[in-house]
Order: sequence, then C-alpha cells, then structure tokens
Amino acid sequence: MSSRSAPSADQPLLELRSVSVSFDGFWALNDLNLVLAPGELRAVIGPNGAGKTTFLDVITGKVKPTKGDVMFRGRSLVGTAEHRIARLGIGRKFQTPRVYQNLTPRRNLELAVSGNPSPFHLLFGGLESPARERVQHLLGVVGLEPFSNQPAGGLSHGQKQWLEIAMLVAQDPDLLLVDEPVAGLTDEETGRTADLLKQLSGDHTVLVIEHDMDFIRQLDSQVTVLHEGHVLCEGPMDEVQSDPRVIEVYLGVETDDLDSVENIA
Amino acid sequence: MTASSPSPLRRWLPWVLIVAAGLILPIVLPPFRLNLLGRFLSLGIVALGIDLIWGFTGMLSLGQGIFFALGGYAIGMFLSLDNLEPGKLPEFFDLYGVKELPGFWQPFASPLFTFFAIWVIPAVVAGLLGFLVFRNRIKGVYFSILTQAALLVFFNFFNGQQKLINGTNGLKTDTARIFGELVGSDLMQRYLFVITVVLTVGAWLLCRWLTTGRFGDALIAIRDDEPRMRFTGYNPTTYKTLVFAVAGGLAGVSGALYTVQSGIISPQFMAVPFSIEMVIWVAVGGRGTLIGAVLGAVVINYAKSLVSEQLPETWLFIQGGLFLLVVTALPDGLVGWWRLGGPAKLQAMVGWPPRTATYPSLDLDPALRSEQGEGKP
Amino acid sequence: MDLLYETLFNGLAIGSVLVLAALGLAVVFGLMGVINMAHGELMMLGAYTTYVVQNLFKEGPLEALFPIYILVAIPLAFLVSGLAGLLLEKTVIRRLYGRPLETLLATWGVSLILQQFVRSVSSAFMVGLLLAVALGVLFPLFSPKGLWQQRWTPILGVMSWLVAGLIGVATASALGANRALDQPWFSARNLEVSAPGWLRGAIDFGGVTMPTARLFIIALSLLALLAVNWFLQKSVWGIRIRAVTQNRPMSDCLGIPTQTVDALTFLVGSGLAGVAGVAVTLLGSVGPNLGGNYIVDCFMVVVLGGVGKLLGTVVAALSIGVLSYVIGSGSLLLVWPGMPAGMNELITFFATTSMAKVLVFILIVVFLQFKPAGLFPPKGRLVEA
Repeated sequence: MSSRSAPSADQPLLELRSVSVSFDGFWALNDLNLVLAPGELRAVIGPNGAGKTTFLDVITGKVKPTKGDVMFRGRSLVGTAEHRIARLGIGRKFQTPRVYQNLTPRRNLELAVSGNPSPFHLLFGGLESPARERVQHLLGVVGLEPFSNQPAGGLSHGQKQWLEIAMLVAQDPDLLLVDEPVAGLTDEETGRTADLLKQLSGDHTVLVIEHDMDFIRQLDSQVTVLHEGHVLCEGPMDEVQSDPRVIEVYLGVETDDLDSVENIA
Repeated sequence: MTASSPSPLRRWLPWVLIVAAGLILPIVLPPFRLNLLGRFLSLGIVALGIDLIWGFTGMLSLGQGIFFALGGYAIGMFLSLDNLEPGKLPEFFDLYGVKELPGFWQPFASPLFTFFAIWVIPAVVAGLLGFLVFRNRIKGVYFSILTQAALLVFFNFFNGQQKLINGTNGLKTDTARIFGELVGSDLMQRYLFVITVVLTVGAWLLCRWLTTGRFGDALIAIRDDEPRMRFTGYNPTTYKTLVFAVAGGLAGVSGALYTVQSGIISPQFMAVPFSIEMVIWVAVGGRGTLIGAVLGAVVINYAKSLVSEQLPETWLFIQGGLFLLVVTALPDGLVGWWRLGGPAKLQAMVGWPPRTATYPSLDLDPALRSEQGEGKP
Repeated sequence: MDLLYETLFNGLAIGSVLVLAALGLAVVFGLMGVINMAHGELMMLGAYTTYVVQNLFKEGPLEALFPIYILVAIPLAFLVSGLAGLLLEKTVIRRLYGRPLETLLATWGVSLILQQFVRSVSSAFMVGLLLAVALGVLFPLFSPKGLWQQRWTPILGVMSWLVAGLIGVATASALGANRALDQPWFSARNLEVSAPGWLRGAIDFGGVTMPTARLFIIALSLLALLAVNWFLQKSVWGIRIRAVTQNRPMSDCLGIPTQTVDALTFLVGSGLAGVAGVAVTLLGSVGPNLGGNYIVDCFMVVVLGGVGKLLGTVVAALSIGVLSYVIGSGSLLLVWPGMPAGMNELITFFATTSMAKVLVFILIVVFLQFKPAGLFPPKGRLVEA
C-alpha cells in the first residue's frame, strides 16, 4: 500500500513547519521546526515536559496543531485521520508498551504486518505466505518464538517492548516513530535494540525519543534537543552534550546565566 | 483454541447430537414444551449477536431489543397482510378509522421482500445508528446508555402510533395462516422448531467464521486497544459498524422466529429490561464463547419460565442476584469457567487434587503442558 | 407573551426535576466513571420515604405538623437513599472498580432487587431478611478461626450464606402464616402522597399561574445545586473529591483516602437521588416503577452535559426539560397559529410526552455529531486517545 517511490534527494520525508500546540493556553509545542531526510536516523531528547510525546501526537494525527503545518513527502498531514496517516507509511511505538493483551504475539504481528486493512480483506483474503514468513522471522528476531501461542498480556514488560517494536517493523512503514524503546530493558537488550534501529535506518527513516543517554550514544546519530516545545539545538551527540544551553536545561540554571536563558525563551 | 486436532468422535459428536435433537425433539416433546424450547433457542440467536459485539469487540449494547422487535414487526406485518381478502385492511385499522393502508406497509405483502426485510432492515438501522455513534469515538458506558436511550425512543414510537402499527397492542400472528396452515397450530410450530434449530446453527457458524480468523483478531484487538489499531492503519469505525450491523441482523432473525413462536409482536419486546436481560444470558453463559451465548439464553429462559410458573414474585430477586453473582464471581460465565479449569479448582478446594502422572507442579504448568501436547493419559 | 412565560416556566419545572435527579448521577459518574443503573431506584426509595413520613404526620401526635412534613422528609430521604447507596458501594461497586460495563450490569441487578423489594416487603419478609443477613455476617465471627483458613473456605462461605438464606426464607414463610405480619407494606400498587395544602395552590404572577409545587421543586433544586457546589468547591472533602476526580493515583500518593472519598461521593450522589425522590412525589404517584421513568432522561443529561462541570449538568437538564415540554405540549402551535401546514402537521405528530422524547433524542444524537464530548467536555490532556 505505501508505495515506496523514491523521493527526490532534496525533498525531506517529514517536515514540521513552525508547529504550535496549545492545551487550554498551555503551549506544549511552540513554533517547532524540524526536517527529516529520507533514510535518516534521528534521536530526540529533552527534559520532562519538553513536548516530546505531543510532538509524536502531532505527526500521527492524534493531536491537531493549533498553528503550523506537518508535511510528509510534501503533503500536509493536518486534518488527516490517524489510520490514514498510518496507511501513508508512518508507524508508531508508544511510550508504555501497547500490545493486544488477549491475542498471542503471533496474532499481534499478523495484524500489524502490512497488507490491506479493510474488514473484507481480513474476512475473505488469507495471509500470504511471504507475510507469514515475515511474522515467523520477526518472532525469532525478538526471541518470542517460545511464547508465540500464549496471550501477550502474560509477557514481561521487556518482552512487550520487544513485541511492540517487532509489530512496528512488521508494519513496515517508511517512517518509524519510536517512543522510549528501551525503558525497562536490560543493558544487553538495549544494545540489541540500538543495533536493530541502526539496521532499519537507511531503508527506513527512524525517529527515536529516549531519556537513556547511553542508548542515544550507541545510536550514533544526529540529536535534536527539545525544550519547552521548541528545538533548542541540533547536532551530533558530543556537540549537543557540550552545548551550554543543553547543560542548563538538564542541570538547572546558574544564576549568572539568567539572561542567556531569556534569549532562548 | 487449545487442542490442535481432537479425535473425529469428539469433533463430530456435538453435530450428531444437534441433528438428532433437531429431528427427535419435535416428535417426543409435548407441543407446549417444544414451543418453549424453540422460543428460547431463537433467543439464542440474538445472544450470539450480543456476544459478537460485547464479548469480542467490547461494546455493551443495551438496545438490541430495537433490532429484535424490528425483525418481529417485519414478519408480523407480513402475516397480518397475508391471506387478507382483496381490498380489506388488517382488523385493527378499523378501530382507529384508518381507511387506507399506510405506505410503509405495502411492500410487506410480498413474502420475498419480508424475507429480506427481517434481517436487512435491522442490520441497516443498526449500522446507521452505530456509525453515527462510533465515528465520534463514543464508547464504553456512553455507548451503552445511548443504545438504551435509542431503545426507549423506539419503544415510545411504536407504543404511541396506534394508527400506524397498532400501538401498545402489537400485532397478533398466531391466528394468521401460511400455506393454509394456522401459524399457531402444533404442526406449524413443529416446522418452526426445526427452522429455528437450523437457523441457530447457521448463526453460530456465521459467528464462528467471523471470530476465528484475522477478522476476529481485529475485533479482539479493538476491544483491547482501539487507538493502537488506528495507528496500525485500521479504521475501527468500519469494523465496529460492520459488526454492530451483523449483530442487528441476527437480532432481527431472532425476533422474527420468536414472534411466530410466541404468537404476538408488541412494543414490549423493546422494553428496557428485556434488552438488558439479553446481556445477562450472554454473561451467564460466558461472553467470548459462542456456545455459551446460546446455552445462557436457553438455560436462563428455561429457569425463568419454571420460576415464573411456581413463584413469580421471586424471579426479579433471582435475576438481580444473577446479575450480581455473574459479574462479581463468574466474570467468564459458565462456559468460560469450565474452559479455564474451574471444575479442577473446585475439586482441589474440596481436597481431591486432579490426578497427575508425574511431578504435579510440572503437570500444572501451562507452558510445559502445551508442549507435551494434549490428550495423553 | 404570557403563553411564552408559562411554557418556559413549565419547561423549567420539568428541567429542575431532571437537575435534581441527574445531579447525583453526574457527580458519581464524574468521579468514578461509574453509571449507577440503580439511581432511579434510589430515587424511588426517597419517594417511599416521603410516603412513610407523610403517613406518620397524617394522624396522631404529629398531626399539627403535617404542613411541614415535607421538610422532615427531605433530610430523611437523603439519609435513607444515601445509606442504601453507601451499602451498594461497599458491597458491590468497590469490587468492580475499573470495570465500568460490569458495574453497569451489577447496578442493574441491584435495581431489580430494589424494585421487587418494595413490592414484596412485609414485616415477615423484613424479619426473615434481617435474620439471614445477621446469621451470614455473624457466623464467621463466632466460629473457630481455623475454619476460615482452609482451602475449602470459599465453599464454606457460600454454604453458610446459603444456609443463612434458607433459614431466613423459612422464618419469613413461618411468620407469613400470620396475616398481619404477611401484609405487604407498600405492595405493587401506586401510592398517592398528598402534598400539604400550601403546595397544592398556585401563585399568580401577572397573569401567569405558577403551581406552588413546581415553584417548590425549582427552589429545591436550586438549593441542592448551591449546596453541592459549595460542598465540592469549599469543603475539605469536596476538594479531596475533586482531587481524586482529576488524578486518582496522584491523590492516593498524597495521602488522600481515595476509598473513603469514593464511599462519600456515592453517599452524597445517592442522597441527592433521595431528595429528587421527594420532589417527584409532588408530581405524581409513588410506585415500584418510578425509577425507570426518570433514569434514561438522567443518562441523557449526563451524555449531553459532559462530565467536566456541574454547569454542564444544569444546562443539559434545563434544555432537555424545556425542549421536551415545548415539543410535547405542542405550544408552538399556539404561539404561531399561522405556520405552514406541513410544519403544523409535523409538530402535531410529536406533540405528546412520549413522542417529544423521540424528537429530543434525535436532537441529542445530532448534537453529539458536532460535540461528541457533550456541552462542557473535560479539558486538557487528560482525554484518552
């Protein structure tokens, strides 16, 4: 369905143009600009309340921007229903793992594996064997084969995280939005997740939101820092980490630097 | 769900029993009991629909009586018009001084139209109502109370329109004739019983087909996490509307069968308590299990008719208690309790642990048991 | 012009009954997300309480106070319904927290039991019931503790309640042999509550006659509204209730006793139903089916008003009341006699109380197409995906 017509090199895959979102006068996003090139891997960090999740909500259509525009392959997403945006090729993993509790991991993946989402297709069309193999392969990749036939509600937190990541991969979107993929995972699992996401970039465009700085460093990608609904700075991890503004935001404000903070706001 | 390949005997036995029951019961049961059983079985069809929308998709409708009664009125209108002398109107119209048949009655003179109207009209009404509600993402208790309000509205409408549909009195069907035979006669009732058995099995097969494949998975996924479905590219509104329409169509068939077997269709079929009662049949039988819905409908209604014959004033206490009991103590219903190992737990409580061949802890571990395969001694 | 005022007044009167009836429902729904299907039956209990109080004041030593019996009935009805609601919360609803649909079904079961209770209750019945409950509750307290720590304890529990129930039934039927004890208190009949004289008159306001009973109801609902508003906004427990409404886990962490808050809210909400029951006795007779006549309208108020604010409940109740009256009485025909024939026919078609409900419901569904979350939706990011 999501035709992967190679976009011209200079056309960005995703572009947020001065997007602002207001909840009853509270500006969760404030004049946010961001451009993602096709095939890029991008990490987004920011302190709590920086608007990271709202930022994903705006892209996936859950929240309508109060001002500004979201462009995907040169086409505006504002006002498009969530499921249509998903069909255009944008997939999302949630902050807390959300899998279908009463279905087995296999069935979870079978629903996610990309195909025709119409009810009549599900009723009359079977699952093609490439899709079936893909599901089997993904079960192996995330190590859920032994549990593939018991309800997903009984999986551990880490297993649910992996299952949801597998579902996202099964969906095969052009743009993967991944919200805190390694919360509650062990160090080894974190490393494997980083490898998986790096592998996916190139073919896919991946945007990761995380708090875990070690993980971000493992991703070895461009980092965008959000603060108060606004892009504070962008660049490689090392550069971002030594940026005085970022240190202020994360570690608190030293009194003699107050005027520089006001410049940011 | 559990066993991969049951033995041929286990697989075919239920069918043999059903066919045998369908053939033998009409001969051996006295007409009164047979008629009761037929009525309760037809209620099983509406229960199947409720199981589909509530047990699988998670939408609790308190208004299935609307669709049930629409199916009943469709057949009732047909039977009122059938065998009329040309130019005459059904009797009740005279009482209100109506001289001309209202327009919407006209097509019901045709058996073919009625055959489709019984299930298409309820399905379309359900689909329309459902679409208007689902597209605004109204769900949970809001959906429940809106369906209940819709039910009351339909009740008021049918109850108040004497000149159109004979208001409170409803339409009588047992004195009408099909193929020259009285609908209320014993012979006709026997045929109707067999038709009911066939249609109940058909409805069960339809629901089974809907719930076992990927479509059924989608329904359960909507129940578990509707927004997640949306972000995967599915449009839950379509699914919910479709399945609500199917449940409405089933309710219509159920209502038509119930009407011809009870002899009357009246707005009482749209009374608020009756529609909630339907939900409790499914809850007692076991929501999410199709056979439970049918069983629940038959068992509870049979119990109701027994109790109402003996101690009518206690029925509401029993029914109320049943609501409380099933919700607090038996959330999976009888069939669910059975399937989830309820009898074994009860046994263990009394002190006879289930027999185990090796280490009990290993044998009781579901993960290991599924690998060993079922059916070993 | 007088006609317009009269229509408005009557609509307001109907609306204010709805405000009273729906207020408790909305408070409970807002806090716990629970729809109490037994709300109508709690109103019914309030109405029966009024009937009992009226009988007490009719003759005997309190006869002189008959004109103000209704002022006694209001707090008593609040108490009776409130305590019944509290019992409901403690025994049933607490177990079902987080399962709103199951709660709905369970409370429906309770409503059936309450309906049959007022039909069946007699002295013998009451003695049997109290005996059964006493036995069931006391047995675990007065039997060896060891019995209650076995693996078969659940079966013992069920059995002991069954036996207690059977003893209760046996006692009730034994006592029932005595005619006086078997006499039902209320029976299934509809009972008339005679209002005191001052509530049976009417006051003339410049050509518009307003029955005092309706004025009283308007005043009562206004008072109840102010009281609830004060309670929620100013009292310590009200503030706790609002805190739990907004964020339950956080309130729990901050040391607010959320269970007590739930119980209290249910008590207040149910008590308000009782007060509504008093008001309803002024409009018609009292019977076991009284609750069912109001409950669906109350639900519509909650759906239309949204759960954000009390104001939503008030506006929704008043609009539904006024609309129902205007449509149901067909007063538009009188206001505008020269309207086109087609419109005239349409209005006549809907000009009965029950057909007005049909039209009002259709209007509500149309309204929800534009504002799915009601008139005053909850604001901010709390709204789920």
